[in-house]
Amino acid sequence: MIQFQPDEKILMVVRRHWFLIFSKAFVFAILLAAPFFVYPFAVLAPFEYQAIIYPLLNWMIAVYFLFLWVMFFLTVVHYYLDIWVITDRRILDVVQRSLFHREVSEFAINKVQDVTVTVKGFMPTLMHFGDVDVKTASETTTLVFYSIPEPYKIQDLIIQLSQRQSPQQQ
Amino acid sequence: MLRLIFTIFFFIILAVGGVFSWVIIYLLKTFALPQNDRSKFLFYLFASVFFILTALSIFFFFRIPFDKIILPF
Repeated sequence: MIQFQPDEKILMVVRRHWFLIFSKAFVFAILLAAPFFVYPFAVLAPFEYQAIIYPLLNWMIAVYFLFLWVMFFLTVVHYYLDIWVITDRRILDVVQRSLFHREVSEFAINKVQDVTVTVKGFMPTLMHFGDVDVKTASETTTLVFYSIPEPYKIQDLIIQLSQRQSPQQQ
Repeated sequence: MLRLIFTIFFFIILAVGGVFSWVIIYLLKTFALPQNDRSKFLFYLFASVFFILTALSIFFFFRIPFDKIILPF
């Protein structure tokens, strides 16, 4: 669990753009509708199987829905736990790579040197989401906010915070 | 015999679903931000639909006429 200092102010909690979870939900919705297209074909089964096919199909569909719900919720949890937290002192990058693979990185705001925004593609341009690449004083360390909404606003916020922090440190 | 195979298969599915649901609950509870209680809503949403679907699958399972099923092999 992330621990914050008592006087630390959380300025922003950022998640990926809703369009990404929406597009995944759309795929799940199509998969959800799939059994209803299979159902009418049960009529084509031989006559002696007619009494069995429907209860069997009902059960298989119920299990399929159960499986789909668990898979969908794993996607939701993955989306929900993948966050970036901007406080007045640092940026926290929490990446839930898989169910049991979690990475938490911390970047001091006064070490930020360069902030780049990349908006690439038709949907990101239209829906206003993109990547924000934050480079710190260390050459190897970069922090990337992937597919976040309002990337320019976040860029401005990080630059403002780093400018405000820098004179205090000198 | 067929009923036994189906029952074992069914309970394996339920067990896997149960493990996954435990993982989801654990992750939501452990990694939620301190000031954020939306994870509680997500947990209840997941649990309620999971419970309904489990009940539905158990209900349909007991409606399968196993005695009428003849394996083609």
